[in-house]
Amino acid sequence: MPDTDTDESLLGRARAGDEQAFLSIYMRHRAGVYRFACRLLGDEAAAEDVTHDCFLSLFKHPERFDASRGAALRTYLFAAARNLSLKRFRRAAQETLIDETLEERSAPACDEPLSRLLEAELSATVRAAVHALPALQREVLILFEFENLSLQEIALVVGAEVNTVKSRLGRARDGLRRALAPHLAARRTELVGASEK
Amino acid sequence: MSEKTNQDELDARRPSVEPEGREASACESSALTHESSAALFVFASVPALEEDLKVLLDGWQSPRVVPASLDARVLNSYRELLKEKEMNLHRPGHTLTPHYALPGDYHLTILEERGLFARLLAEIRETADDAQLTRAELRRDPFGFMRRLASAYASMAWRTLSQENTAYGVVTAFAVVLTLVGAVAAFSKFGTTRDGLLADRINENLIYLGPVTNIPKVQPEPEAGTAGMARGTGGGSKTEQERPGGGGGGGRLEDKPAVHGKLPQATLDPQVLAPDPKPPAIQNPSLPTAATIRADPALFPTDTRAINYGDPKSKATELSSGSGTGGGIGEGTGGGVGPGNGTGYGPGEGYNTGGGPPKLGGGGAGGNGGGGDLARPFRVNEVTRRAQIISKPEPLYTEEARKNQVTGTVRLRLVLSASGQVTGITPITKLPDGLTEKAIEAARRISFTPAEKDGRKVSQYVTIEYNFNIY
Repeated sequence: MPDTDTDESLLGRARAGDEQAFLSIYMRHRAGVYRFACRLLGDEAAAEDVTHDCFLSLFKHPERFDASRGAALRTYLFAAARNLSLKRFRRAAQETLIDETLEERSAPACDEPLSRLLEAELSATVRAAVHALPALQREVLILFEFENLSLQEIALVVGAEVNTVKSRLGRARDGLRRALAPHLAARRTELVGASEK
Repeated sequence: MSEKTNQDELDARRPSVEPEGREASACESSALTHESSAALFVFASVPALEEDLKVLLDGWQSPRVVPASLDARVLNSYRELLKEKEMNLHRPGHTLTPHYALPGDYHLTILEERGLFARLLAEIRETADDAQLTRAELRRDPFGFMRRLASAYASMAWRTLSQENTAYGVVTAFAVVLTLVGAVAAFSKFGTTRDGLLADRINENLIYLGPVTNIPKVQPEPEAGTAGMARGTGGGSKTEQERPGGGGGGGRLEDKPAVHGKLPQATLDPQVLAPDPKPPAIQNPSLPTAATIRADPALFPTDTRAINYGDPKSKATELSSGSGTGGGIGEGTGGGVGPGNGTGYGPGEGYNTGGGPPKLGGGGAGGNGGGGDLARPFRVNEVTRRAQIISKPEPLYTEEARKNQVTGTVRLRLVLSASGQVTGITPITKLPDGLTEKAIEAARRISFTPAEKDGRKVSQYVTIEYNFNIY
């Protein structure tokens, strides 16, 4: 299957029953959607459900994605993931709490145990700070900083104006700066020390 | 992407110098309060705070790679979906089977605790989310928004109605409501037609004169009072409400006042024979004639008591026709009874009763005079004949009262009942040392003849006194 096929053509074939076309679409977008859901929800199991439902919605409700509206499939998938995540929030009647027991199992940058511990600690701190943000700011921040979506795309995903997205992003950064102020200060101290040497 | 958005993008991605510089200064000052000016020179080479933030964010280790189980699950669901839609699968023979509901299967149902409206709202909101019905979308593409809105909610309605038994339920509900409405309408129409026919039958000989508009809100009620007495507030035999009038009087120029007694039979025919308390004894009368007064018989029930004629309101006991003239009884003139002038009864003139010129009254029962509840106890002035006390035993004196030299009066109110018993004894004035109790005990032993009202025995209130004196 050539990878140059557009999402739209692949989707058309997948809807007609072409499994390879479906797999191409899925492999192309699964990582971003899963990562986004995972960061947004803070729960890998829930993120799996959201990713699953997200891709299946392309076939269960084909009318919901209309390529003629100018939206890219990627944007649609992120929007669907976002809506499904918000549904989960509503059902839980509260923001998803940070699961402190959730283990970060990413591969460490180096093999030193202390370095690994520090990285894990920093990761947990950043995660806690992001999850402490309001849901609307959190999703914008994740899409912008981690998934590298443009402001226009984010506006389509969250169903808001570009300016709204910008202001949410600004507020999210302000909130993060306040939450991570000690780490920022420590890091700058280290950098100043290194520069003096 | 427009040019402006590109610029926004650049602004958003670029580390903002001024505000971040300010914040950096703040952080710097907290960290390097005692640093030398050389350190400030070093600061110039430190990256801006926005980059620091980015580095920190990058420290959030991304979630692990997409689990293989998810890949398998998505693929299986895709195949299942295709099979459900009866499409051709490229890879037949997969092991997953769709969960079709077979008739008669046992289905577990989860009952939601949320109410009907909450669930409906949630459904509507989810549909709006799914169809991307946002304000931004409405501004961007209003027609597309409306099309998606109609399509999404139509499909929601279809989903709801296409559920098992839902359509049957809705149709049944509509049928029941329509049947009820139709039944009510038909009944109402039938009733109107029937009433109309009846009305036509009744009214076929009537002539319409016009609507009745002067309908008083409150119908006049007959005034209470004894019929035909001096107050003139009674009723009579006429069908409409009207006060009776007239009266009568008489007498035979005797010195003594008119004796107490019963009234003769009332009749509206002209009087033939005036009443006389002492009728002359006529042996073998050839034409026996009863004494009468000329008054509305509705006001004067027949008095069957075997007593002499007289004025019922008089207290005299000696047989006398009174000081009036013209026959009859009383102080008036004419052949009637009472102080008036005529052949009726009471003050007034002509005939009948009620005072003033004679006229017939009417309208109902004539106050309380024409009847009433004979079971209740009556006051002395309400009965036709008072209760007659035959014996009234004296109460005994108590030893304590004698020692304490208690004297005085015990006054009791009691009912001499129609059955001949003394009931409802209530002390009005009491004395100590058991004298009140002794008085009540004595009162119970009173023997009497019950009072009468319109020829029937009735209960009557009396007040009696017992005097306790020490001689």
